[in-house]
Amino acid sequence: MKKWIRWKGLIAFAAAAVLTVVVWALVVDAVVRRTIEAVGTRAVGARVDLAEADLSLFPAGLELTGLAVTNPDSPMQNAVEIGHMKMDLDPGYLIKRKVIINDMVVAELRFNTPRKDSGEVPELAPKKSEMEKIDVAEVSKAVAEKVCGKFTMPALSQPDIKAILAEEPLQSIQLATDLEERIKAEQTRWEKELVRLADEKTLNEYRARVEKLKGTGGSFGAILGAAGEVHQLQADIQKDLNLLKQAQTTFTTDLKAYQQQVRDLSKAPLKEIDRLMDKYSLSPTGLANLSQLIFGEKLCGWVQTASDWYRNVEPYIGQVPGGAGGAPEEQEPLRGKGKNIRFAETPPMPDFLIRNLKVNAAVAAGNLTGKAKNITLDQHILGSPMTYAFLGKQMKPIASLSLIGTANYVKPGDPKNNARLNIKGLVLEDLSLVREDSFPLTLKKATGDLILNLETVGNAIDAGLKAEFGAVRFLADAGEPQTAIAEAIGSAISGVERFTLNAEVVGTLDAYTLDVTSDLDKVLKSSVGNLVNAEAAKFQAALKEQITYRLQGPVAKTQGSLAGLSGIEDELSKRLNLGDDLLKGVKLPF
Amino acid sequence: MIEAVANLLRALNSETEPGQISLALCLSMIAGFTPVLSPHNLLVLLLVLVLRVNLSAFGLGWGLFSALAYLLDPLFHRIGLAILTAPAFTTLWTGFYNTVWFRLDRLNNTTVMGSLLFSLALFVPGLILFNLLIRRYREHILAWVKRTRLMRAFEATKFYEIYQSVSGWRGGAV
Repeated sequence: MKKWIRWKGLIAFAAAAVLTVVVWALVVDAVVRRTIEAVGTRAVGARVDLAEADLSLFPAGLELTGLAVTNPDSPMQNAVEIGHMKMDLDPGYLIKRKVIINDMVVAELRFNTPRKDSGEVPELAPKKSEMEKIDVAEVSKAVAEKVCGKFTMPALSQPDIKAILAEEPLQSIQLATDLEERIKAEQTRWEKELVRLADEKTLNEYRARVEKLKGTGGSFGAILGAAGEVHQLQADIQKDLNLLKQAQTTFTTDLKAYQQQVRDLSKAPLKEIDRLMDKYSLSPTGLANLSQLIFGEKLCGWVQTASDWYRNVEPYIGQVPGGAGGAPEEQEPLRGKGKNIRFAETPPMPDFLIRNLKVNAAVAAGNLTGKAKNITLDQHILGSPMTYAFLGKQMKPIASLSLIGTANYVKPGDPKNNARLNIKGLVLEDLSLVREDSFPLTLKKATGDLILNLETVGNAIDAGLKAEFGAVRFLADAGEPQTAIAEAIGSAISGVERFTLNAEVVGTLDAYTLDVTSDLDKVLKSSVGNLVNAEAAKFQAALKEQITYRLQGPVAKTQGSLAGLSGIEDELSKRLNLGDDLLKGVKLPF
Repeated sequence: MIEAVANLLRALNSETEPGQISLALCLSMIAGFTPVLSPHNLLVLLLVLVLRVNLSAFGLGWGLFSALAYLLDPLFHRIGLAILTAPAFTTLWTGFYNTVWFRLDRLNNTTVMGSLLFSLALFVPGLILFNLLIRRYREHILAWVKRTRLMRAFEATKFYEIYQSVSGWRGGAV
């Protein structure tokens, strides 16, 4: 047996093990620090610096100090800086290659802090030429317009009628021209028809035949022959008269229809005026949803930004790697070869979980403290949703803030999120609401409270905002002479000291509707309503005058053409009278 | 490297127990085929150091089998995948999956499981085969080799000097 055992080898193994542990203890912190920096830098695309890392085994935990993540778009700035981060790891699960953090404390969390040196990593930096081409504000506005439509202020000045009429083809003029052409065509047709019908010459020939018959006398046989001719003549005359009467009836019907159409021409401008008034004139109706126009673009932009963020994050938190139970499932390994096969666990546990997180963040507005539970990308394995609550007090532009919510991805196919944001004493300053040159509007200052309730179920979103603002000061300063209505709106809104704002967002994340209401509408409508009506009446009168003037010529031509048809009517009547007289004179000579 | 080869040759040509060399080669097969940082290789290392096996044979074998493992990885993956996903073993693997040692050793990985099973399966046959080959070598080939002109020429080389000068691991498997 001794021949097969080498006791010195045991000592060598123990020595190697001790040496490994000592080396590990000496270098592990540096290795952890460098690993976090390297992996973080690759992931972010800019330098991630860590001042210190301390990994301990008993108790298992990791402490990070001075973590700075460079903003890849602005290398002289840190997107996030964490002063101190401490996490207690569950050693049992660590051996099972799962990172389960029982408690995690993040202190001195700050955003957008300056860096002493650039954090750019040239080989990882995004292509600058592409970045420079993108104007974030313009993209955001374009996307908001795509979803919510364009928020265009109604025209606040009387539009240039000549310019409008130069661009807008008048349908009434076209109508008159068409009618004139049709009447002319009708006249030509009837003139041809008159040639086909019995005319004065034909009737005179009938008269000659009558006279000839009257001179017939003599034998009984001659008298009988004349009677036969009289009957034939009567039938011929009657036939032509019938054709003339039929033509007259048809013509009279057509003429009446044309006369009616010519009369209708006078009404055409009214419809034209109504159409152009709707399109170009500011009406009191247009003022009814002015708050939608004032606040809509801003709110839609915010909703869209939130929606974009959510959609960027959602694929990760909603992913379903499986493994909660049932059949074994293949997983791509993080590195190396082969595949990791995942089996059901008892109890099921995600690969990464922060059971309790406490955060102390210094945001631009002040200090924000918060806590969150069950942070994991595999809620369907854990079986519990993530909950969070943040609280901020005595912040710079906010008296207090509370955000409470739940992100429920326990059923990945049916994710549910809800959040309630309550802000008190929010101070808004220099918030540009309308950027139209004709009516730039800025909320110079306002203090208010707002409550935002948000709920998403799958892709559907339902959000409601209720806000009340006081100590309000609006500034509507175009810097150039304004129209009376713009001045009136500016004056009315400048006098507003408080207002309420309600917004509802309903739909899906891709297509939602934003409905904004505010008591500002009432104020604006009552203050500028009469002025708007008067301006609209002036615009209408001027429009009517111009359209009537432009329509005069075509209508006169149409009426002239209609007069031409009257000659045809006279001719038909004349021929009928001659025919009737002739028919009366055709009698038997005995 | 030359020294290690010389040591192995010396062991082969000496009176070292063939089992000590073949066991070293079989243990190196496990260490070489499976990923080097797998925790079970600590056990292999312990066995190599505690059991009186030929260390040179283990070192050379480890290098050889590690190189061979790159070629055999697709085979290991297929074996591991077949075993780990076989419905008949699901209950067994599920039970193991919930144990610390199974997860620590990453035995749910197809390559780790495949290579370990492959090397364990070949362990005993390999031991017998290597033993047989060493004995045959000593009985038939060694005497013949020593008589060849090539060997005589080889004895005049520097390599042979090294071979002769190797003195450590007396008996080939200290």
